[in-house]
Amino acid sequence: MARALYLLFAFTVLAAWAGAQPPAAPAALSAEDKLRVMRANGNLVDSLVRDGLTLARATNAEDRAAQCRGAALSLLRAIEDAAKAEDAERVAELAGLYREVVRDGLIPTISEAQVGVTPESPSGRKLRDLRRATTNDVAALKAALPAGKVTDSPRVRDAVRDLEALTAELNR
Amino acid sequence: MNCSAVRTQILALPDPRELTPELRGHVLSCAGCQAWARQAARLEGLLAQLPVPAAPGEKKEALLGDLMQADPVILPLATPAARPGFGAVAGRFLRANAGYVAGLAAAVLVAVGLYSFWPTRPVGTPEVAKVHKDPLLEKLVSGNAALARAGTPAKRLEVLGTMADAVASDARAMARLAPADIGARATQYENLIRDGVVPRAQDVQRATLGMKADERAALEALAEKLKAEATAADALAKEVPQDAQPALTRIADAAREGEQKLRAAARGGK
Repeated sequence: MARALYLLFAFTVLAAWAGAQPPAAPAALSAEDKLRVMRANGNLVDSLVRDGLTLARATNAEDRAAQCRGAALSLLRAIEDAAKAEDAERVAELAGLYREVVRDGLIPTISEAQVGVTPESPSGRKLRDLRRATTNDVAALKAALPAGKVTDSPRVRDAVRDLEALTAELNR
Repeated sequence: MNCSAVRTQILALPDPRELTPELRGHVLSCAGCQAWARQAARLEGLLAQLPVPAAPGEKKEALLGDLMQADPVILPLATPAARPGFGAVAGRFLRANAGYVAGLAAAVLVAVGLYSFWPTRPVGTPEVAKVHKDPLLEKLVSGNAALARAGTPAKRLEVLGTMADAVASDARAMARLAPADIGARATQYENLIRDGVVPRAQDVQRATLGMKADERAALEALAEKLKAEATAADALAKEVPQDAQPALTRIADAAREGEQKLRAAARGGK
């Protein structure tokens, strides 16, 4: 009887402890994966460092917005390469990063640049063109995704849906 | 109807003085029954006139006492024993089946524990999704977005410092794993320091005549971080394969150079 109670108590404590644990952290990449990711992203890292240096030289919001699209284009090219290689997971991962740079960099900077700018002024036209060009970039990206393995991926479908929402936000 | 039946029926009447028509018909034609009916009526009248003696006061109590001494005719219903509560029943059941109950409880808890520990993965997110995550890439993307929003030289300098730090950290992390590949990281770090951090630090110095205390403190803090980076890269260069050493040395040199220029900027360019 006592043994059964001890056993019950021990399992209760164990279950309570297990329930209190935070969600498991994503597993760290293996050495092989790290190496593969490093080599796969070599050119993109180079581009983003250059884009960052160019961005840091831009002093006004209009220029920063234009240079930010440069960083977005670097990601877009990498997504297209991944799509050609039918690497759906990489497409989805990079699409998430593209969305981040447009949502957190380009859109707020365009909004900042538009303050005090009339729509028909050179700056106003430039900013409008920038919005349009970015919308076209997203449309071109969607069109470039090969049907099949890539477009069938749930992650890619989610990413495309997020990009469509982004386009709507861009044109608001 | 004969006389005997008539007389019996007269005696059975509630009041023999009030005959039914049938009995009255017979009585009127029969002298013997007529005399019988008359006597029955007279007896009924005399009974009504009899005096009723008063009952003694204690008679009722005495009668009740006699009745109560004997066993009661109607016994009270037996009161059922109090029904045991759920706790008592459960306790008795647990005592009787302790082994089975403990085993069942343990099995449930093990199942719950296994469920808690079982790695869950959203549908449509295969394992391969994780291996495309690149922390350096994520930091550089965040850095670019932050640079787009950065409206001041000081803010741009801060973001560039973060990006340079991410590149150097990645180079150190990969130095043993891919010693021949970290040359590219060294180049990126040099570019970030020489073409980014240092010129932007000079922008901060030029942008404000008489640098503010917080800006000077930010430059000093970044210079201190570069000094730490140079020290870490130098230390690691002594431990890693030979292929990785030149890249780490370049990172250390760029960090030291950046540190000196930032300190100079913090002093107002002197």
